[in-house]
Amino acid sequence: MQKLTISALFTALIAVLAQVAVPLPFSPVPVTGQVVGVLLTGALLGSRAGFLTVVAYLLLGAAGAPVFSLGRGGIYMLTGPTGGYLWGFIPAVYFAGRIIEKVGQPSIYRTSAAMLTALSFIYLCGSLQLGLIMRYNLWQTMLTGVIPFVPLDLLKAALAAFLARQIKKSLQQNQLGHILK
Amino acid sequence: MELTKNITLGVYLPGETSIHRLDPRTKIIAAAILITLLLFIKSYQPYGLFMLFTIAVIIASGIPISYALCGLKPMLPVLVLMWFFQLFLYSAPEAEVIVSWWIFSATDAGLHMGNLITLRVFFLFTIITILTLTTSIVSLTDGLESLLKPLRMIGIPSQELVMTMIIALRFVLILAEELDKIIKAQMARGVAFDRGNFIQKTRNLFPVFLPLFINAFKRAEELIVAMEARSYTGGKGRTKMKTLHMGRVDRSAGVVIMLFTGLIVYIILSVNPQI
Repeated sequence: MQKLTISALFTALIAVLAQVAVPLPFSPVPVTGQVVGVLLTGALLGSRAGFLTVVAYLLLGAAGAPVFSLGRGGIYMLTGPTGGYLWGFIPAVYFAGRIIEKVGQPSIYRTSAAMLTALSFIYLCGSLQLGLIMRYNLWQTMLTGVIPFVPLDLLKAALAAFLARQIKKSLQQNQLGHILK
Repeated sequence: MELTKNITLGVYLPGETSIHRLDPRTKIIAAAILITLLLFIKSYQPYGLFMLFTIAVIIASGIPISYALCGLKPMLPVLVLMWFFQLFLYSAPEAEVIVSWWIFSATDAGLHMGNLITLRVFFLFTIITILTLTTSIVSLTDGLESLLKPLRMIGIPSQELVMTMIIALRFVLILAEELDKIIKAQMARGVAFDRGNFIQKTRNLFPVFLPLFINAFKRAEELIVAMEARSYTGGKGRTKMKTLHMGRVDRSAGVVIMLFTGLIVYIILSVNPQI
């Protein structure tokens, strides 16, 4: 029950974070908080609740709610060329959660391992679908779908890891630490 | 705030037409069938028929056509971009070059592919728009829940999933409001969100994110207490005030969809016999 509400909360958080966009001077693709939200979900909720969260997020989006980046939504976001990046959230959160939830206080190394695993799953699913739908070869797919985003996503992963620590800390300060259990 | 402006969720146009009265499950399945059909269309003739069918459904549901297409506006740049992408990047072995410039060249195969993919996305969008315009969010989630029931056998809690979605929808609005408030509060304290280089801009987001999360958790805890106080225990044994049932409209809708699918499949096979 408690998990259900927290999952709903994180679904909403991913949706809201997806709208927070910092425009970049050198690229048409803005930095959105979507990935930050997904990584945070994995880091804070663990595999099971994280899975529920992301599936609910994708279903909401598929049903047409504008929860994806830039207020978009609809099933074509999942079936379209960039949909793989969204599907990738499911294994990403699940495995990140599995890595992190094994220990109570994850170390920096464990957290970064989880984040990198999650990112690689997102890229794997994302480039697979992009390549298949647009009929790109391997190099074209890497060039349009992976390489330009790597440095920024690493930055986002670092941000998510930092935020996860801070949030845990301040939850304990506010006597809300039990909520994630 | 972008999100609150863009939320077209509540945009359900209530009505009494037969499209509105259809069981949400029928509508979801029909939309799924139509979308699957779209993926197989590779020529223009079936699209013509599809266009007629879509217009007929829009007229039958009493939605003004301009209103139904209005939601397409945010998608327009993406559509145009996709068209150009296909035009210049799609390559077929014996394609005729129409225009070439620098290292790019547009071929007739690319043009065909671009047109088809743009049409496909356009119709995907229109179908989903009709679905959400004629179905309230409550019946949509009810229908989804009922359709997801078989998933329970492989251990996915469908009822919980749908409950999560409904609560999340409320939370999105609450959080968007909260975010707006926090941004204004931090601006009043002198955080300049629009100044500085990229790293400074990112760092400026910290005093926004942390309070957002803590407030969100507080909200969630209130909700948990409220739900427990009302003895909510999850999906098991829960009954519904309104139960879904399929009627005559649904049967006739089923027949229409079947006929349409058959017709489209026939056209696809007769236009491209090699498939």
